[in-house]
Amino acid sequence: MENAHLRLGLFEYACLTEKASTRIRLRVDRYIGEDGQAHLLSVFGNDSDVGAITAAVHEKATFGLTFPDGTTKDISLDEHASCYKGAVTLPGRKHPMRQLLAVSQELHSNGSAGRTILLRYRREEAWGTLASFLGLPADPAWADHILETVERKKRIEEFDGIGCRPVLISATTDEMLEWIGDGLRSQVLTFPGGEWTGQIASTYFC
Amino acid sequence: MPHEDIATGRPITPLHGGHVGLLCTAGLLNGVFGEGDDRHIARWRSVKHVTTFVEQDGDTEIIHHRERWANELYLVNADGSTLKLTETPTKKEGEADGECTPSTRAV
Repeated sequence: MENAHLRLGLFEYACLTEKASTRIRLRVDRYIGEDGQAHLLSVFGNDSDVGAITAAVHEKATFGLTFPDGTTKDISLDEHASCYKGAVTLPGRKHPMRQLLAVSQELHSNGSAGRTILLRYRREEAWGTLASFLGLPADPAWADHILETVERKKRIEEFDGIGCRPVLISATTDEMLEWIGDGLRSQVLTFPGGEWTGQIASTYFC
Repeated sequence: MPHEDIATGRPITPLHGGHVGLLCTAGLLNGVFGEGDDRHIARWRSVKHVTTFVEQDGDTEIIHHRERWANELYLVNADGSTLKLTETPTKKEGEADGECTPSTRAV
């Protein structure tokens, strides 16, 4: 694992009013973003700073984000973001550290509208996630063929990330069903054999 | 598909629509069914539909969001044909209700 300064980002919130000037800087250990739209943000710091950032997220404020490689970007979580707060107790420290996890509305309903965001891309994990989120009738053995199709059609897009390598898979349920059907018709995919799992149906409905 | 336990037995009375709905949404009717040409994989899921309509009350505009849950069934047959069954016919593009997913899906 790399040293903290090489893997953590820097999150900055600046607000200037007539009476007061606020400038808060926190460390970021996880981030998923699409250009200026942040989808997942995990920051940690003291209680008051995290509280202020939570309020700013709900007010749809724009933040500055510095990536570990030094690039900067203005980001926002937009409307209806969800915030989750937790405390991390560190040995030798009197007060626990606060962590804030902010999730955009899109990530909250991940998979709907044919857009599925993943923290990282591994075929088996991606197939399991897609089958679950899109509600696909699927077999684990189909992962390679279907995701090969997804890759060939250039439906995988890399997102900005800190502490992860996020991707967006753009595919709707109907498209996935079509690709599954094509695979079965061309006999590239084989239908699951052996004992069937839906024993309830034959017992109850015959 | 996620691993699911197999339940067996015969109910005392035939199942009515509510029972079937519970079994479907619990994922107990997901899996590989049938034999020969009828062999297929079934996958049920619950989808929340949100219908939005606007009511005028004088100068005031009241926006209503009506939520309802519906079951959907996706089928893949052994011959490669697929089927999507919903409780309502598919609406034309632009007329469809908003669709929401049931829970947090951060991965």
